[in-house]
Amino acid sequence: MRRPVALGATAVVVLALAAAAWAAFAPLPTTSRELTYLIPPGTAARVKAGAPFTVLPSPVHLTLGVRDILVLTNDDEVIHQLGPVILGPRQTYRIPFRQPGRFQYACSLHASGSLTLVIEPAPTAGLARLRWRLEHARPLISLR
Amino acid sequence: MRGGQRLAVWVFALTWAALVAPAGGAGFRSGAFEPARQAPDFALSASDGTEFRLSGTRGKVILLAFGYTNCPDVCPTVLAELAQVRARLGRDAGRVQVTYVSVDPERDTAARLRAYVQLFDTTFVGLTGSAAQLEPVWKAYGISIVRREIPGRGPQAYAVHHTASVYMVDTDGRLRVMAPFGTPVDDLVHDVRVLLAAGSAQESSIRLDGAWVRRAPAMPDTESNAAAYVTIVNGGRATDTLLSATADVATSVEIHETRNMSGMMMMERVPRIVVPPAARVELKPGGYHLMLIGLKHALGPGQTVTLTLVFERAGPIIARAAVR
Repeated sequence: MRRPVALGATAVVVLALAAAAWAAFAPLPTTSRELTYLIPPGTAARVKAGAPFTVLPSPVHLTLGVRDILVLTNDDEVIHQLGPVILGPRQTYRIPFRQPGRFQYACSLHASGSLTLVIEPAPTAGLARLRWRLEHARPLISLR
Repeated sequence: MRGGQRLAVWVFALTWAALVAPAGGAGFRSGAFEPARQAPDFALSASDGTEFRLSGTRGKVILLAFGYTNCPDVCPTVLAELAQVRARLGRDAGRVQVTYVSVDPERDTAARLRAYVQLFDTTFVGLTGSAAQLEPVWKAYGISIVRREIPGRGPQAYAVHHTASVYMVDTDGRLRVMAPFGTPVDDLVHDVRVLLAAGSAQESSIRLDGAWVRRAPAMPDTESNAAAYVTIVNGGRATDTLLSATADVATSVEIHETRNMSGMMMMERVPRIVVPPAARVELKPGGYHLMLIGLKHALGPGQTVTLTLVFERAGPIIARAAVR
């Protein structure tokens, strides 16, 4: 009677430890490191009609090694400017980041007058990576 | 093997599978535009007294930056980095032009700007003008400029906060890259090399050597022709093709090849002559030649014929051919 209970408890503990170890040490997903913001067709017309322009939040957070390529795409028929980036119709600006830092650009679209990019260092194996996974697990769950 | 161990093996296998997953693509290391569009053109007076027009610089990679001579920190950093980029490019530096556009027309005179940019590299060109001339350039490149007075130091004491990105314009005049301030010099060098390599791949460099035309009498009542010879040298990195030719003394010109068909010399019209990169093709008696058809007058020694050879990539190239 006592043996199966002990075995089950051991299995649960082993599984939990293995999951934590995986979360802390397994490399982060790198299938797509791009964070894309899209200006949809008709944006200029909607802004002219009084709709707010909400393509880009500020600050924009990127994490080295995980999501460190910022992609800005203009699918509208007219030129748009996002911070210092001027995009013609159906044009994309793609910028990979390789160093952590905080960049601030003038941007008339934001109430603060500026657009901030925050590039976080890569979550190192161990506690930092475990913490990163826990922080980024929530949006995944809420999507379901 | 117990369950826990088996799981550990699985965890390990998954870890390795994730490790070898590909990460990111090739191409530019700093921010790039896709598709590339023509860079906004402008003409401003250069610090050396000439007029600089962006569209007049085809064939070179242009590194465009914005700043001002009173800038205490950011501008000297950008200019020092651009000087390093040129130094690192070695021989290729001659195909790169750094241009520096003023954001402070009030204080940046041409002379002052020249002295300033040449502190970093004697080939740098500073561009300035009136505020009315400069504003459209700033706007076209998305440069935001905020003037901040320095209190208690007089009207000439102010700082100009400005976007300090480096723009890269390719050899065809297209805006390809915008590298934000702080992009490592290594990455700038890498991206310039990408642009130079792409430019060279398209570049055709055709030279015509030793052109001559065989003398020809004027033939009353019948059409008279003459043969022209020249050596075509392709010094570029791309194959080019001779498509057609004209001559000032003939009504038309055809590309011909003389072939020895078992003792009988045959002359055939050929549609084109292909010149591979780093190769030469000789048009000479007994081989390829240009047939000048319908001479307008007799050709004798001492005369010169102007030939225009039209190439697929290089376009029309003129050669002066002596009559022999």
